[in-house]
Amino acid sequence: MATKSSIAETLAQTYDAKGRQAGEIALSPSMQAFADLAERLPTDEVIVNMGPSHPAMHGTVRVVLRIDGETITDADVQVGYLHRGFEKECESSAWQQIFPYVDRLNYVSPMLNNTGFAMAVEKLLGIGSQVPERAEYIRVIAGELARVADHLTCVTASLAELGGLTAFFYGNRAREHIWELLEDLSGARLTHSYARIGGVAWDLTADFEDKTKDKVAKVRGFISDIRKLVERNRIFLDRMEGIGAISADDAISYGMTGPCLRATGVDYDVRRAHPYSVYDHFDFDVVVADGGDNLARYLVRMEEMEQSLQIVEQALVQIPPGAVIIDDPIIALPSKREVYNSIEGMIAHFKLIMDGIRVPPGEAYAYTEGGNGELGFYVVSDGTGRPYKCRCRPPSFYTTAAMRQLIVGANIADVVPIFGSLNMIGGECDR
Amino acid sequence: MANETTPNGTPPGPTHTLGMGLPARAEFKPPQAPNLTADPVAGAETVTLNIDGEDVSVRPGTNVLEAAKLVGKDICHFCYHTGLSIAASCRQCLVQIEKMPKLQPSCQVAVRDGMVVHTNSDEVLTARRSLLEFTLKNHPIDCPICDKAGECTLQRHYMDHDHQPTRVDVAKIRKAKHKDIGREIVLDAERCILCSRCVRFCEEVPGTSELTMTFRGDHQEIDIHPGHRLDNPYSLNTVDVCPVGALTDKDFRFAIRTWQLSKTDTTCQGCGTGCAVELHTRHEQAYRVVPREDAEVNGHWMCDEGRRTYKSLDPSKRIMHATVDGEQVELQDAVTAAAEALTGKKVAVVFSATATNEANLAFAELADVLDAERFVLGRPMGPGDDILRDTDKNANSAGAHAAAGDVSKHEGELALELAGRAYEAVIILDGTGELSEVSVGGLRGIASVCLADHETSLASACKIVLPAASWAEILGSTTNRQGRLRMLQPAFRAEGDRTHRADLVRSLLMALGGRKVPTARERTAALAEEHGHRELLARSQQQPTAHPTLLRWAHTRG
Repeated sequence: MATKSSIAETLAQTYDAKGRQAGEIALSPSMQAFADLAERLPTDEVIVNMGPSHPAMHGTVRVVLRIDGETITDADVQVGYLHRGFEKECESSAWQQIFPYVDRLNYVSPMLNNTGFAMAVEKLLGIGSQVPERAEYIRVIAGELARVADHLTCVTASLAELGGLTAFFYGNRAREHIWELLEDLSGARLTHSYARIGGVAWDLTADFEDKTKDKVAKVRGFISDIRKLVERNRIFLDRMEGIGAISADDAISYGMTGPCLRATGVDYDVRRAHPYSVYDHFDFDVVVADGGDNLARYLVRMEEMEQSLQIVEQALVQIPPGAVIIDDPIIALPSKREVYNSIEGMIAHFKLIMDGIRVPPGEAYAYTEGGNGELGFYVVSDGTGRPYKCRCRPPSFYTTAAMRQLIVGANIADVVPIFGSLNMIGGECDR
Repeated sequence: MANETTPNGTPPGPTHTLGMGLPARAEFKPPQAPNLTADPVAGAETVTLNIDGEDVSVRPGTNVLEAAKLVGKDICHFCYHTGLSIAASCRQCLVQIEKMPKLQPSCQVAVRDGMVVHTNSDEVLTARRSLLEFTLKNHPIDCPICDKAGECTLQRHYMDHDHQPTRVDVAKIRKAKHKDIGREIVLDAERCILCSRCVRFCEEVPGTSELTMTFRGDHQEIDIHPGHRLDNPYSLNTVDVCPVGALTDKDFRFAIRTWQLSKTDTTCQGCGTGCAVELHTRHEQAYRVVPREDAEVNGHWMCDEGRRTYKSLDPSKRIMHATVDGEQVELQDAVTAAAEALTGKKVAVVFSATATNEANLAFAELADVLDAERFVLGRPMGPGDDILRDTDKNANSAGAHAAAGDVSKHEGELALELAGRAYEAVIILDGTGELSEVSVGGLRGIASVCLADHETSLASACKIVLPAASWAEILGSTTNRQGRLRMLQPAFRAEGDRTHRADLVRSLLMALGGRKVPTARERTAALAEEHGHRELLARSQQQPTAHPTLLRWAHTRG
């Protein structure tokens, strides 16, 4: 914080090339007059609103800043602008109707949400171990592709906000390849709703493996191009290095998980710490960086994309043949052939859609590694076809909670890269 | 019908003194269910048997199926119905009873001391699945177009007990698809699973026996006897007892899907019996009335006429705002105008046998304040019988007469006096009542006030019309012909200025200078307390009062 007495000193340092201190040099008369005037000027702290609709805040969030000059002395981060009552809405929807809603939580990586929610219901049904292995592999492939898309969006949107628009276009082109794959798989580019309770909706397309290999190579190319573009760039490094730093202890106390926590040096990834699905079948590294600043978060995400692509490649080799959804007529929908041609299939289809899957009374919490960290679903069933309660633990809610600490003391301009690297996704944070 | 009685021909004396204008009627006996429930009667002998390892003491004479309900086992069945005789024709409720060589239909086996029953052994489960598969063999793939879908017993049993794919590869046997068999009913013979519930109902409850089984084996079907139609006044109960969509209500056919409806427990407003019913609604529109079990009043049944009472809730005919001389005005202005119109005149106060106790009680206070001549008006008499239907087509004659107190003049005299301009002002509690055209004409010349929920000739003849909430929008009570307090609950919120009649009368009393007039809700609470009606008392103390349950999640039907 600049005090009045230091104005002359600051001016002197700025305009003296020889590195002399104030007092050692004399300012020019006009400069001295300016410094005198500035010291007599009454100054005050100012409240500035960033958001909720600010072009550089790519989530709908409102940050009320108390500033002294360029420095932030206090901040109030207000979330909730994208609140849609997701949890309440779930209580009047059949279990299987909730997939489209979870698509819209972290809408940058819907497949990860799909898997997380399906796992919670499967846990409650007690069929976790009966989900066909092929379905688990498909969930992993689609989920890891979604993670790459998620990280690409986060990183390159942040770069665009720092002025690196080229990197953003490269990122979008890479993401386009991933979206094409997911579109082939699910029919939708963004909101896939591809998972089902007990498996996935349908099998991989015939040319999925070849296409994926091709696209993975292309995405790798884009990622390497982006890294080459920015990582030796002075502006980029000045804005990222040491900015928005948080210690490991603080991060843990805020409940941070995911890339933001790993950027503080904590080796925690749900896929490794509590392996679910078939993640124990793959060889991958949990990416960790030191510093907990913007740069560390950037580096963790860049390397994680590579790890995800490696998981996809391994999964494509290992994936076994077989069914893609559990063989249980009171959970999985019958085939269309049976529905249209037999009363048994018709009744099963009808009752599953209208009454919902009858989940036995009880409660379950399932947690997965989402794009932003530990994505948890806590579901309670009262024995009817809909949840009594469906609570989502949104990882970005906890990272956004730490934002105040990160931006107090920083400059106004730092809010944007710090916010970008925390990757608050409104749909997920506000539910 | 043979057992119908005319209002004048009823033999024994009245059981309640209902005031003038009401004929004496036969003593009403609730329909008796032929099957006993298993709950042991306090102090009486019990029979102890073992069901799935659990000992249970039940009332002697009941059957194993009812006994199993006491231990929470709902044995899958189609043909058994508590209110009908036992046929044991569907064989769906087979259970294993130790020391009996073969599986036994649990609905038909009477409980015995020391009986050991298994309802979930492998043998039983196999039999249950096989029978369901057999039942489904010829069942058409109609769920998407079937009115019963969503509340269908066959669908429920398939999901609970069968869930195996089809093994049938031959064509299904075709039967009549939409056969008009009665005034209210269409038969789809293909969907029928031949449980014979409807046949037994017609034989046992109305005693008319219009239905029968024809043909044999795969070709067996339900049909009407030649030259007869299913036209008895209770025919729609066959639709309720039908476990599938074979018998459908013409009025409800293709109107709406059942799971979109919300149910509200309330009382039928069709006659003095006051059957317990569910009103099924979606948003502000009512779709049907179905009976709710009440052993003290209507058993499992209700009449066809009562099911059509929801038609008076037609949204297009609702009166939403107050009018004075045909001009729409603010409700409070209309109340003030009404108070002025009634002050210092010779007034006739017309209680209503179709309005609630609360409204009639508030109206009695108004009559005292105005020192007016009292009348009770209602719908005219109609056909009745000794099953459920009352000749008095008003739900609250007892309550209205109790509130009005000593009514010295018959409603016929009101018509005459109105026609003869005997009064300077008149206030009518419900526009549903019927008056002759001449007397309606007589209303035009005097200060007339009417509380009406839908457009009627009586309401449109009055100068001031206050918008009242209908019976589907209010919490309240009526008194049936047994003298029981019957509960009315709101199925949806009253739109516009529509207000509970008791609250409208309250505003009027306040405008006339009254103080501390109880609200409708306070009156309901007091009545519920007086009659020991716990459910109504609880409802009157709750906010909000509307608690419709969406049938999709309720799983209460089928």
